[in-house]
Amino acid sequence: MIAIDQTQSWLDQHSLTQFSEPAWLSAQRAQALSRFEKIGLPGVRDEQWRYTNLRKLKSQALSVSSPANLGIELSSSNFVRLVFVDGHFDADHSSSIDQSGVHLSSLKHALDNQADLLETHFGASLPQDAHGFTELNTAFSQDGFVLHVAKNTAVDQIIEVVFVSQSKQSLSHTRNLIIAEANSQCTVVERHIGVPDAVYLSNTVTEVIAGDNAIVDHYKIQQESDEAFHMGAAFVKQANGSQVSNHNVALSGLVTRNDIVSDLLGGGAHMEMNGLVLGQGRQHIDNHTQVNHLVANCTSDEYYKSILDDQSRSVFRGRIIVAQDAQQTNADQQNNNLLLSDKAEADTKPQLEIYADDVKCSHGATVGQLDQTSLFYLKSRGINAGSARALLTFAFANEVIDRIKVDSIKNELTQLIAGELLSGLEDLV
Amino acid sequence: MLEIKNLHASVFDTPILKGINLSVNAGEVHAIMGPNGSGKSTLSNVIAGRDGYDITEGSIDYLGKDLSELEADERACEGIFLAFQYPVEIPGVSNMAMLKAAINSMRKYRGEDEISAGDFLKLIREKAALVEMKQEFLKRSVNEGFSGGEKKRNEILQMAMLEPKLALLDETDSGLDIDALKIVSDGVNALRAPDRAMVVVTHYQRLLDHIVPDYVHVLADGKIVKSGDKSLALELEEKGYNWIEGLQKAS
Amino acid sequence: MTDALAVQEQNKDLKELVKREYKEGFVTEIESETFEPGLSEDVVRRISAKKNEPEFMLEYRLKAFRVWQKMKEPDWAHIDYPKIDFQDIAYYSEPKQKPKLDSLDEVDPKLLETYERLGIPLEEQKMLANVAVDAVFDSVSVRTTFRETLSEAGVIFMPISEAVQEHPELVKQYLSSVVPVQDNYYAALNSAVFSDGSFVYIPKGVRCPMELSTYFRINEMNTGQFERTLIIADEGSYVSYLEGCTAPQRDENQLHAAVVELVAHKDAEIKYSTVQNWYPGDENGKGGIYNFVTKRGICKGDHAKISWTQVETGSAITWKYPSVVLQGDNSVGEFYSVALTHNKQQADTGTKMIHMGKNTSSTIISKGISAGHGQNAYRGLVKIMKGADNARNFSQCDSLLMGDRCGAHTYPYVEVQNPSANLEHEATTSKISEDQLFYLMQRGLNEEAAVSMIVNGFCKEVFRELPMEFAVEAQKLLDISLEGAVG
Repeated sequence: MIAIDQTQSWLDQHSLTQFSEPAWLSAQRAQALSRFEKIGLPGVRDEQWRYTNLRKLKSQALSVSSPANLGIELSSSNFVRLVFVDGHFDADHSSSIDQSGVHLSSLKHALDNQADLLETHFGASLPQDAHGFTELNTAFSQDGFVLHVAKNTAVDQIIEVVFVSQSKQSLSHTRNLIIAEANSQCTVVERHIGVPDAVYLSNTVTEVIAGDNAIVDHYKIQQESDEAFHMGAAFVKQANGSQVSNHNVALSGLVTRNDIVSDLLGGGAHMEMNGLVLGQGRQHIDNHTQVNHLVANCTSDEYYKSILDDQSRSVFRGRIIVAQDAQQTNADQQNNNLLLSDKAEADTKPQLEIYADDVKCSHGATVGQLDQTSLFYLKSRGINAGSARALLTFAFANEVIDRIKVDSIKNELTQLIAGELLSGLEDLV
Repeated sequence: MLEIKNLHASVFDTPILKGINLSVNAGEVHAIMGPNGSGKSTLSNVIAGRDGYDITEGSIDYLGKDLSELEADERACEGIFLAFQYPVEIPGVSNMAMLKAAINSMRKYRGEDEISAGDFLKLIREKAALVEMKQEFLKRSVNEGFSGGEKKRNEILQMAMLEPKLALLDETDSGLDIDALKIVSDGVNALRAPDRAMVVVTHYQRLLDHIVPDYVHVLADGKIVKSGDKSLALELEEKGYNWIEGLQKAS
Repeated sequence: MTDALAVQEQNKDLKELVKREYKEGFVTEIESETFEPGLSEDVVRRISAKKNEPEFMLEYRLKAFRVWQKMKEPDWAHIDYPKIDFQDIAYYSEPKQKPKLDSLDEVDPKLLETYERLGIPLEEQKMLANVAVDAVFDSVSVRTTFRETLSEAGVIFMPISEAVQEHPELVKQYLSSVVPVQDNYYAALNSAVFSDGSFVYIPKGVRCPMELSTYFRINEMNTGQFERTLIIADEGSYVSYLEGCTAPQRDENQLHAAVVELVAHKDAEIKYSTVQNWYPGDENGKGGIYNFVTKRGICKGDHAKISWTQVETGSAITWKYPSVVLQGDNSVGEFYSVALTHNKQQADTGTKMIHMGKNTSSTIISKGISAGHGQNAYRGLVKIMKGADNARNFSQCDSLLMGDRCGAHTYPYVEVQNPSANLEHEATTSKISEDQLFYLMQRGLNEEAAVSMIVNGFCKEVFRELPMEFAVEAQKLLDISLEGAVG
């Protein structure tokens, strides 16, 4: 069967005049669209996409859904919560935060109320060589969330944003901004979920601006439907002494791509990137990370792990760039892959690009199986082979989970992963 | 041999030594004691000429030469040896190769011929026996994979090989168990000589049970606050470093 | 203890060390017959005619030329150079006084002198007793030593141009069996115009009685060197092969695009070592060789082993990825590399290990040293195919930076399609440790000696893979190449 490229039909859904918006935003959208028209969607000939074939996605006829009522039940939460359904803000299921110096709202609302702030920051974190999905997002994003934390303010609650995709063949572009001013602190959890078996594309971009000494902990838990396409990006800009962490957990979805880029622009800034992939079925998960050490005295630490079963495939590209004069950089990156099935595949490209000399940079990558000695050890203690494997696999994943700072999220993920890997053995952990 | 006058020194621009006066003659063993952060290790690193350890005031005269004008390797060639608190690992460079290069570098400095392979082997075997070091260690990379005790023994072996005029032992006892401490001290004692001075930097008195000093100096906040003979070390052991704080306040 | 101040201080001191000289940079005044610059089907035919080649070779060349015409110069490597005008290069040059390879008396004395000066005497009595040399000068082989001794053992070691005449069946069978003409731009170009190189065949069960080596010399101006090396190790045989390369110091860039193919049959082992010291250009990046080389070996049979060792100190640009296709079960591939870039040199080098057979294993040890404005990239691929059960790979890529205007880059690719594989890749990048420097200086070594000692220690794992005589040579070369770079 020859698949027909349907991507033009996606564009036909939109017109740039659909938004009644400030002129600066319309101009940005027009620019993004014209860049998209030049570069189009990526293909496997593109070095950054050589392991990720989008043929299946491109053959999907997709359309933007109208706002509709939330069709699924969300579990209760102790966090402040915003809900988006097929890319539209769902005020009924969202709560609000009432803390001085903290503004959390939908992008549309923020455009009406914090236009100056958005004009300064919207789009400012995007890399020069953003790919087609990001350009599409800028051109057509219908909504998203904006969090603004004023100077010297620590948000006293965890903020949770749930993106639900429920309409079949839907197309949503969500755009989010986290602006943490100097000495502020916040924790944001993004969840991406979908109704089972639905085919859709969720294309989401989050920009993070961390001011001097700001602390931002950004979590993303991806539980899209097994037939879904998820294109995600986080673009981070960090000022002096800021500490940002990005935790990226991919549990489902058919084809997932994440681009996570951090620019370290001020001395003493630290970026931590953690990632966990649990690949099953025919899942394809492609994580592209990049840390740009642009000034001296910054540190970064990256830890990505994949556990791949069935016919799943994981792609990792981790790039550390140390610019000329970015002396005394300390950067480390690890990518470990566990293959559980003879049809699973792992491709990894750790990269160091270094133009300064007084640096300590390292990366390591491994692909392999569970350690035989450990397996034997557990078996010699009376644990059967299956349980021993499950336990060790769980332990492998847990090394990433352990780096999560928020206990409730850590517990939730531990339970989730235990559920996936340890069915029936949960009491062992 | 060593004449330190009103020495002020900074480590990467942070003032650490604040007016040290010390005079060491050939054949003498001086112990420098003091609490953590008092500047003990700084003093030995300044004398050895480590980068970033800068003299801001005062002088160090060694055998009539102003040390501040000499590079670290020139000071070594002049006979100053520093036994490191944390000996450095150098992968791929064998102990033997390094020592041979060091000996020849010093010989060249003195205008002598290079050591012959046979003499070198003979010398290193003899000296290795002194610190009870096995031959196989000599072929391994410098300090790589050595235990704490092996590293310190290796320092003393190097000292024995290079036969310095002034030996600075920086916290040589740290990380040593009692057996290793004995071997290392025996090695040091065997190297005591009328034409050789030693400066032993240590936090604890126990090393001085093995290497008995002629003089003991107590360092606090970058100054020598008290000097005496070996009994001072015992007094210090008994009264603790809090006693020093009292002395400081008094002065 | 590390600190920016001390670093700057040290950099300043180290930069003051003397400048390097390229002692192989002389030109041999010798009359040559050189083709006018330009490449066309006619030139390809003329090269073939010069060599008196059989029809199959001409066809092979023409096919390659046509493929090349349709290809584009690759641009993915981390190197930056002006576009090469392939019509501005002469594709063939040979000394006028044609040497007869059997007798030294008939070799132009100037050629003998050239090799003497390079430390490669071609008179057998002067040579290292256990090394046979094939000397290639511009486009032709001028002398192959110890041929009789070798032929007694059944080893064929001769210029490939002669092998085409004397062993056409072997050449026909193996040429481009590892590197197809369409493999890449430079391989296609080489296949069309290669003029000479070495041919080695080790018969079944023979352990080659001596080291074989080829010494490549570019002399003529505006001439490209396109040599072709083909080594076949039949079942159960062993050979160790070494190549060395130098060129005169010239302001113009010169192109060197070689292809090396290795075939190791069942239980055979090939050890291939390179000490590459082409003229690197001056400190401002003027002149130097553009070195675009395709090297690949195949472990065809079970338990075959191919080991590449390279010390790359020369060339303005190095683009080479000696690779191993591990087809036979239990076969082994190794890659040991030291690449040094100084001044404005650029290197993009690494390896590919393609695991196809079961229980195959590969090891990659890469040491990159960047100094001055040098840019040094490791690029490698380890691929485990579906059927490659129990494949093993260990990769270690370390970079040492000397000076704050150089670059070190690491681009490994790992593709695993079999769950029983075990792969480990590690990479580190750092500057020379000040602690190590101070430690050695405290022991009386001057800065230059201390740096040299640390750098040689850094490269130890690679040097010990080289044949003894060349390991010493490589160490010296590294010291010379680093002079004036330290910092």
